[in-house]
Amino acid sequence: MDYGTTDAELALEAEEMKTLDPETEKLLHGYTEEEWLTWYNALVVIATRECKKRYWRTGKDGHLPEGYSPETIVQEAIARLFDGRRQWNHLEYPGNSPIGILRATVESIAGDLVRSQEHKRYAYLESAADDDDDDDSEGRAERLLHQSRKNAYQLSLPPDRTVYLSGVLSRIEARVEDRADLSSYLACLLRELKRSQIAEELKVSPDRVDELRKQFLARTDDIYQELFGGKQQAQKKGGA
Amino acid sequence: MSEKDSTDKVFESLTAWMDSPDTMDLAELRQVRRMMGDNVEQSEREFLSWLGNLKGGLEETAAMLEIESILSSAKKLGLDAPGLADATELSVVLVMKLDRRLIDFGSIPEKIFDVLANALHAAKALVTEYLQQPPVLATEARFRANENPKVPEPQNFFDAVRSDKSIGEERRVALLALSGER
Repeated sequence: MDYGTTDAELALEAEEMKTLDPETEKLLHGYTEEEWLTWYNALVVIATRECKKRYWRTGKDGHLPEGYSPETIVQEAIARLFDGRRQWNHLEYPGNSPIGILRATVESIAGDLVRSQEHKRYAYLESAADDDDDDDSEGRAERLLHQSRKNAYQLSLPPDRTVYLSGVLSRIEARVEDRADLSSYLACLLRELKRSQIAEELKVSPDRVDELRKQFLARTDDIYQELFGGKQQAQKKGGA
Repeated sequence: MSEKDSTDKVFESLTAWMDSPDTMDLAELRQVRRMMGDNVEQSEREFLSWLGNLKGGLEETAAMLEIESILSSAKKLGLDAPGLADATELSVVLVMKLDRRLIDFGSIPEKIFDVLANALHAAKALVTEYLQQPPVLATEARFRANENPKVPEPQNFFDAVRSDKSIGEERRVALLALSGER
């Protein structure tokens, strides 16, 4: 009997209709509000750090391209997981928490945005310098200006920013110098050790590392507030 | 190391504690965000509202299209054909045949209406009504140019189960056992 479509064709068509996998769908709809808020805040912290890195790398602060902010980067990552644009590989990111896959997505989006803007800026400066072939003095002055901006972007940061960061580090060191455990914790951070490596280095449990972090931040809160611009923003809001 | 690299490194080191926010609880994360100058309460309110719209939008779309076809309804719920086959303990081929109404309505066990309605979050009456309609032709792209499309004759459900090469033996046995319940 001819059923019009073979079983093999039906199976092939089913494969082509792939979308959000049911396991992910079930998980995403099952999380509590508190779980979502915890992950949201954690991801905003990660996104903010990614965006701030850009400032220290390029000297360019302020708005991200395409109207993005750390919050909207996180929303975009979550939306991609919900609509299946980002597939949750449960072997690569095991467990019921989406924080691993979402973190990777946030870092990827932030990285793309920063690269895109840095590329645009570089391309603009390159093009402006190369296209400007007027031989008059105004043209030459313009060309020199573009060239100097391009070089500034490529080669160096203003010395005051480097000095400022060194100053921040010194102030943090001074703030914890009376506590050997916190000084050791800071030394581990400066060696870019991860939580488990810090635990191993200090011969304490990972929970103790979390406790040290809390104590470290309690002592240095105002310095970090300044580093992230929180103090200035709070003052602006208060003054507005 | 260049000055730029060095500055990068200092900033990354100073903020290395932010590298494991998954080990922070909600209270600590809120504190960290406040430290960064964020209005946490407002940000969370906006996020929850956005998340509600995201979830609500998906569910609303699924409800609106619930009987357009079995597979499109399943897709709106995030289920593809294998996902629906698993949720209903059928096979991909059976799910596709039911979607196309290539199965004789009178031969479909009552339980199949229940499991489909349950998996699609739809009323059983709507699923029944959908499966009662005439068979659907294969998609246009799969017709051979030199053949006229034929409206296929529906297959008996249990014949389809017996001839299905894609189904696991356990599921086949369970489905064939439904023949005694009709």
